[in-house]
Formats: sequence, structure tokens, C-alpha cells
Amino acid sequence: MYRYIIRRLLMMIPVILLVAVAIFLIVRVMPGDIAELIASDPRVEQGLMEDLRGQLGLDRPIYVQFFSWFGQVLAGDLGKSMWTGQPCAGEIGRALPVTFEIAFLAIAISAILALIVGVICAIRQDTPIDYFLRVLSIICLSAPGFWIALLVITFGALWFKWAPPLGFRSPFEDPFVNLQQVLPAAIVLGILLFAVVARMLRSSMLEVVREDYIRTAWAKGLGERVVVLGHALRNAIIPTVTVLGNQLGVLLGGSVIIETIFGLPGFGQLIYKAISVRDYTLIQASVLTMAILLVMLNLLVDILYACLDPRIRYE
Amino acid sequence: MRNKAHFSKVSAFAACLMISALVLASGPTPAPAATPAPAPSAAEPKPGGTLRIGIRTTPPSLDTFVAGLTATATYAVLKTFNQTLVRWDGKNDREAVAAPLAAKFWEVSPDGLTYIFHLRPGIKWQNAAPVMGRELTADDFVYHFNRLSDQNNKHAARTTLDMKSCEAVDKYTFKVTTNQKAPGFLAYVAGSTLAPAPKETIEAAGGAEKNWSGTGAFILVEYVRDVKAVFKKHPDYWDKGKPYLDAVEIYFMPDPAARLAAFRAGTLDVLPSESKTNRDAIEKSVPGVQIQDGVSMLEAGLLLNLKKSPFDNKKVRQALLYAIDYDGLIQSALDGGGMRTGYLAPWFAEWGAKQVADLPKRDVAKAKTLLAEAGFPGGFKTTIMQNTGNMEFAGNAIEPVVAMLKDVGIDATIVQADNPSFISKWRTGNYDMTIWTCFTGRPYDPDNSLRQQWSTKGAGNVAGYSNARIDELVKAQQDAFPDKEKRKPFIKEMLTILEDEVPAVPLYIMTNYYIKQPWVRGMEGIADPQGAFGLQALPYTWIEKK
Repeated sequence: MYRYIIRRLLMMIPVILLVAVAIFLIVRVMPGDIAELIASDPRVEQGLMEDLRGQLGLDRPIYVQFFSWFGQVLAGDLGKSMWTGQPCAGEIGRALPVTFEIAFLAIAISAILALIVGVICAIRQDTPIDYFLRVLSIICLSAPGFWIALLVITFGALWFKWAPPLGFRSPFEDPFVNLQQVLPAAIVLGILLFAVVARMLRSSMLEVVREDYIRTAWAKGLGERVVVLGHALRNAIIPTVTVLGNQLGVLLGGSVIIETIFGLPGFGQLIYKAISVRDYTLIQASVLTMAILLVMLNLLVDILYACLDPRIRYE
Repeated sequence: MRNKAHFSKVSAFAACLMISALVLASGPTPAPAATPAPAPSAAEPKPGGTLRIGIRTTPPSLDTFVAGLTATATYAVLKTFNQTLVRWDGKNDREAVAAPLAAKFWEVSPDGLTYIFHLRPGIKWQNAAPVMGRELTADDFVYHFNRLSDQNNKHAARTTLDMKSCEAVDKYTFKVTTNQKAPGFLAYVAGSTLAPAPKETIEAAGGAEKNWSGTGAFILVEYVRDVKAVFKKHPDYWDKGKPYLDAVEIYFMPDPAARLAAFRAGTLDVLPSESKTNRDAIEKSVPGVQIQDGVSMLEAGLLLNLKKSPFDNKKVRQALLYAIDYDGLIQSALDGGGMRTGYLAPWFAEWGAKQVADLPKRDVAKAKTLLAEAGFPGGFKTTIMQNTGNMEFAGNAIEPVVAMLKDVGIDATIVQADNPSFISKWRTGNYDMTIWTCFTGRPYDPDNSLRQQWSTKGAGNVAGYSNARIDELVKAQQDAFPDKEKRKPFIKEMLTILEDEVPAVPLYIMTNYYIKQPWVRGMEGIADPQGAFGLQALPYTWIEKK
């Protein structure tokens, strides 16, 4: 197992390098650069824009720009935002915990909902409750997330005179206010995501409950709770872990619209704003950070797989 | 299965858990229907309380040297903790005039090139590092103005200020000499860009971004990027007895639904700049709400690439003038929240600005005739660029305009571009048509708009228009300053030329709605030059009851 982990960590290096090259080139292919945006006010003299490019290092050959930036990254410096002049590490460090919090809460909510719905649908297959829950899952899968978020925030204010508290507070500053700010967004995301997991879990459970060892468990006279939760679910949940891991990756990438609607200064908003102003350094730093996180996350999911299923051994 | 009842109980319990979680997240229990707003009070201002303001953008920087002139959110923050030499005053923003603020009075030299500002003695900087509560002096303004005029300043403040020199005369007096006569100079001076950042602040570690020195009614005590700016009362504010409020909080909320929800829930007190759609939604749902409409500085025009065929043809441009259903456009793109304009906003009537009733109206037959005279009897194909980063102001108008142009035979394909791509294509001339800010309805003086937008070297000439006679007239009206009657004929001739040449098609001035809760008093919405309504009235604002 340890050799497997080390091998996976070493494989991260070419992945990160490829990501770095790809994102470096992609942002530069996009039309417009930050110098043009800063100087976009037509009252700025045209010639000054070139000076600005020089100050930002954008007038150097592209390979020089890349090696200069990547060299900094290898030395542990993610650079400074071209738009605000603030260190990218600080900007990312401020935004990422917000998104982590939303993502983990959303995953927890979607897992709980999926567990309940998936198990019920499996053990009550082809009954009215199964049909109802499956239709509900489809509705949640189909509904646009931003629409649900807008409904929550609009009708929350209209009917209950409620809005999330203003000004994001971290859980260390004020946990109760933080929960009121983050939980609505997490619930919306959880509702959107649970359907995929629930359907996967239902499928897995339906396969597992037809296995011989489950029939044996029933024949032994074990209770329903033990059979379903102790034997069937334990085996059925393994593929679900992969789906949850993927979902976590998607959420960590940032749900920019949900964050904007609920006023949460998360990672999605950070990247969106960086792209909006062509802040190359911040885009590159953010994408690189995300790539590393996702690779680590995939590794963790694989390790969790091995913990859940002793038959799985990595060499 | 055994124990069906057991599982039913488990399911019901789980459902209850989720409902409980939702209720917890919902906070307080549902409130009854909205109660009527308190009756307006003629009572004395009441001290105390915190005012919460929601604005749609977020400052890129708190240093105007970095943020430039275009950052409205930066203005909102700067205007709250700092103050300029003059402010706007008047019964509405269309008739605003410059009034004293940090400057007690000022003099303009007979040649119109030199302004001498006399500061109020005893204005104190806020008592925080690095200025530590010392007195505001002329040297502070001299430093700031010279910094903005530095050759290395990449931003618009330098060219707009167009300053030749700035020097202190004595402790409370300084003079500014401009390179050319600027009849609208005081309009720039009222802008928050010219609220000074003192030398100690700029030279301290972190500069103006981290050190917030101001002489305004409120001290900036906390700034969280993309989240909020928190201010508390300045105890040594020069206007004794003010401000009435203990604190102000500005929240940066780009999503309109979130702003509306917070206002409806009563957690925001003021929305200084909202669209008609949001205004209508709030009026229906918040009893007693105070709404004032104001003119934004956002004037949209159909911008044409004058260097490209067929827009280099005057007849084609004139045809476009008659192709647009302007009232229909304002209704569909702005939900009715806008007004028509010509090359000068209608409130400049004494200068010859056309009134709304006299502006060109849609005339499809006339447009087709003009196109035929231009050599395009069947119309032509072209493209129109839509800035997806600016849908509310300009982007939403693109589709209605395309439909209107189709009626006269012009087949325009929409090309979408996000803001940086839009700027890049505009700068390189890689577009045919678009909708953008081509005009300015800025009050105070027509020179602010006409010279900037239409003279060849005008800093706001996004159309790239050049006309030698217009340049001569711009110079002539400048030279005639401050004699208004001498300037008028030159301005009128400029308008006649522009109305014939049609370098761009004036579409509308967007109306901004300034919305306050029933309990907010004293915050009259005089338009700030940068459109941050009412924020300059914060020292006089109080909360009746909450």
C-alpha cells in the first residue's frame, strides 16, 4: 500500500507539469489581457498600455514568462495577483476554506439524503414510495442549481423576511452566523447532488440484495437492520464512494453562481473574477492548486476504497 | 420484509431531521406580513445606529492610483471615509452645482486656467497611523494632485485632470493650473479620485491599500475584500455634531437577488443604485420604501466602426438613426428605466441640447431611403458585438436592436465577447457595431461630455471620431470660458454637426434607482459624479426607527 501511495504521488509530478503548461497557454490564447483591461478606459493614453505590459512582464517571450513563473512556483511562491497586487497564496488561502466548508457540508447532506433515498428505493423496489422518490430524484437532478438558489433566497425574504446574514464570517469568528450563511448554499448543492448518488446506491443495493450471502443472512434469521445496513449497504456503498469523491472534486472547483447568490467569497468566485480580468497569475495559481487538490482527493478515495473493501489490495 | 413499521419510523425521523435542519438554517420563525412603515418624521435627527448599504461591485483597490477612474465601488468606499474639495449640491442630480466641502471657497482666474482653493482650517485626518490625527493642509492636496498627474500614472485621472502644475500658496491654500481651460473642472474635483491620500499613507508599508487615511465623517476600520467595508464615526469630524450615525457598513453584493433579499429582510438599509426591474420588485414587497430615481452616468450609444465600410458612409449612419425604436428599446432592454438623449443630455437645453420630443423617431421608410442613397438598397450584413460582462447596461439592448435593424434590411449577427475580449476587439478595431458608453450626461457643464467624447484627442472618444471643425469649436468654447453666452453658439454648432454626421447613435441614459428603507432619513440622493447615489450625504443621515 505504501509503495502504491508513493507511486501515485510521483505520478502527480507529470500531471502538475502538464496542467501548468496547459493553463499557462490557455489563458494567453484568450483574447484581451489585463493591461488592456486596466487601460480600457479610453481616457488612458494608448502608449501607457505598453508600459503597463512591461511592468507586468507580459512583453517578454512566452517561454521566458513560463519558466519565470514556474520557477517561482517550484520555489513555493505562487506569485502576486496582477489585478490587486496581493499574493495569490493569500487570495487562495482566503477563498479555499469557504469552498471546502460548503463542499463538505453539501457532500454530507447529499450522502445522508442519498443513503436514505437509495436504501428505501432498493428495499421497497417497485412500490409507490420507490416511484415517488425516483421522480423526486429526477426533479432534483434536472433543476438548475441557480434557480433553486434564487427561489430559496427570494422566497426566504418574501415569506419569512429572512436573508443570510451579511458579511461572511468564518466558523472560528462566529460559528452560528457562519452556519446560517453556509448551510443554505450547502443544502441547495446537496439537494442537487444527492440524486446521482441515490440512483447509484439504489442500483448497487438491488444487485447486492440478490447475492447469495444476503439470502444466507436472511436464512440465518438476522434482523432487517443487520441484513440491510450491516451486510448489503456495506458492499453496495463502495461504488458510491467514487461518485461522492467526484462530486467533491466538482464542488471544490467552485460553485460560482451559488457562491455569488449567497454572498460567499469562495474559490469559484475567485477564479471567475480572475478570468474576468485576465489575471494570469491568479488563474494559473488557482488552477494549479485545484489540480493538486484533485489528485490528492483521488488518491484518498482510492485509499478509502481499500479500507472499505479488504479484498482490494494495491501493489 | 420484517419490521416495515420500523423503517417507516426511521424514514419519518430522517425527514424530520432534514426539516429541522432547514428550519435551523432559516433562522427566525416566519414573520407576519409586512407592517406599515413608520410615518415620516419632521423630528430632529437622532444620533446613533448603523446604516447598511449594499452595492453591486467590489473595489479592485482602495488606491485610486491603481483603481483608476472606473471603479464605482472604490468611489463608494472612498467617499465614505474621505472627502473632496467640493461636493455636488442641488435639488436633483440634473441641476447639481459644486458646493464647498473641504474647500471653504475657491477662485478661478480670469483666464480660466488657474483655480485657487482655500481649505477650511481645522479639518483633521482620522486619528490612526500613519497620519495620527494631524491637520489637513494644502500640502496634502498638492502631493495627491501631483501624484495623480505623474507621468507613470497609467490611469485616466492623469489625462482627465490635465494639470500643468499644483503648488501650495500657504498652509491652507493651494493653486492648480491646468494645461487648457476646463469648464467642467470642478466636476472632476468633486470626484472621489481627488480625495487626497497623504504622503505618509502612500509611503507606509502597504500604501493606500492597507492604510486608510481620510478626513471624512467616517473612519474605515475594517475592509474585507469582496465582502464588506466597515466604518465608524469620526469623532473629530470638522462639521460639529455630525455624523449622526455611529457606523456605516458597505456590503459588496454582485448578485441582485441577494441584494433584494437582504433589503426585503431588513438587513440592508440602502441600495444606492438599482435597475428598474429591481426597483419595481421592491416597491411591491416593502411597504413605505423610499425610492428616488436618478440619472446614472451610463449613457449608451450604438457605436460604429467609423474606419470600416459601410459605417464610414454618413448616409448609412443617418439611416441607423431612424432604424431604432428608442422607446421600445428602453422598455425591452431596461424595463422602462431609462430616458432618451441626444448628443447632449436634455437638461442642457440652454446649450442647445435637443429635448426628447424633438429627437429623431423611428422611420423605417426614411431609413431604407437613406440606405438606398448610400448604395445599399437591399440593406447589408454586418455583426454587432455583445459584451456579456455588461448585460444590464448594454448587453440586453443588443437583441432588440438587431430585430429593429432587420426591419430596415440590416442583418446583424451577434458576436458575444466577455469584457476583456470586448475591450481587446474594440481597441484593435476588430468589430463592426456594438453598444457601449459613448456619451456622458454628466451634469455641471457640457464641456465634460462634448470635448471628451467628440474632439479628436478627447479622452472619452471611444468612437475614434475626428472632425477638424469640431476640434476648432471645442477649442473656441473652451477659450470663451467662463463667458457662457459666448460659448453657447460654439456648442450649438457642434451639436448641429454631430446630429448631421452621426458618429454614433445615442440610445438612452439608464435611470438608476436609489432605494432606502422607510426608517432612513436625511440621505437625499444627489448624484455623485461617479453615480454612487447619496453617499456624500452620509454625514447628514440618520435612522428614524428600526
